[in-house]
Amino acid sequence: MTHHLSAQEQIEALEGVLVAARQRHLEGCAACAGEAAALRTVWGDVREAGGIPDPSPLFWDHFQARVHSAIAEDAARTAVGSPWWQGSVRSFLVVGAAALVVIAVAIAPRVVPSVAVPDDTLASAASEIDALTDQVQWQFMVDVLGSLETDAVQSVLVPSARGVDAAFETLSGQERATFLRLLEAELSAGSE
Amino acid sequence: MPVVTPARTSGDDYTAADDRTLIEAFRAGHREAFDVIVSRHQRQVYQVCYRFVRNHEDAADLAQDVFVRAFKGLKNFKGDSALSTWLYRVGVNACLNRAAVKRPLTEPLEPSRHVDDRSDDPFHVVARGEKAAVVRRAIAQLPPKQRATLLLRVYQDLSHEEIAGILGSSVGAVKANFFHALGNLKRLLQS
Repeated sequence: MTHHLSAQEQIEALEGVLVAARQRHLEGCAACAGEAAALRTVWGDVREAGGIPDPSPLFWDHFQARVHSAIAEDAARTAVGSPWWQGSVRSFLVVGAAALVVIAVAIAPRVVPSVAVPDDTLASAASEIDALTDQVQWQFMVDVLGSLETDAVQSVLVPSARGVDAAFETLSGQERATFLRLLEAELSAGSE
Repeated sequence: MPVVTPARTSGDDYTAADDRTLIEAFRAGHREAFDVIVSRHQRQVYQVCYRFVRNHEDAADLAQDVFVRAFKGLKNFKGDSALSTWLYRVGVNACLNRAAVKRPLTEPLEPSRHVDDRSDDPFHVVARGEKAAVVRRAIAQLPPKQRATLLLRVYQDLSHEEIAGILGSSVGAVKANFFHALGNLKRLLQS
């Protein structure tokens, strides 16, 4: 008795490229044939659902300009010699918020700043952030913190006693867990 | 030997140039060649992003991000694949990175936006639209790599070899991912 079709063979059957010997098994095996029929039905449903609404023609007219602006903004952000805190206000707030979360994870719950974080503390945290060499982790942090509203970020920079917790509360459970895991990994690496 | 940069003339027109020529021109400093790359591939990139995030605003942001990455990364493009395949890779990576951060948007049930007008029977038209929305919501629940494999195979009609190159997987892994994607969809649609 031959083995049932593997996952790879089921796909080859679906696409009509299954080798002859295995095709004979498929034709004689109710289980494999049933699986193949079910996959074909789902594939058909997926194809049927493939319509994408076209954006307005104006969107394409302006997309080039949008890309140009984004390239120019990115170039300004990463210009050589620019201090880390220069750039758009949003970028500064994002980095500052990231620094504050690094501080919060490192020193919580011993101290919760009740006044604006001193510049040297931010700079120290910023240098830790600068040391993040993993571009994916850095981009992840920017993306997560960049999703925070400016008011929420500002409240983190000049936090009340609950400010850090409030900012953290804006993240979903999964985002929070992932973010803490990354920070803890970086802090552990820094302390080695 | 001095490096000679081709002179930029007001008559340079890259609209008819192939992708390889556009890349060489861009690397030589002809910015307008990149504009042609954008206009030539923007719809393809947007469609892939849209299929991932299922809303125009996020798809537009992701597509924009893809071309910013392409602008910075083209100097390192080795030409071992088609430019379109490379852009797919950049786009899928951008979508997967986003999927790691944000939950997929739940598409509102707006069958009128995706009406299939093949049949004159309004009942069937609406029913097909509703079913399509259900299928799209199920696709949005797939794990990111299964979703990427499914979208690239079914909608972009890429081969398993091309998808393997884009996702950095083996052909066998791509087929297995595709199989599990369809299997998971079957379970989601039956539930």
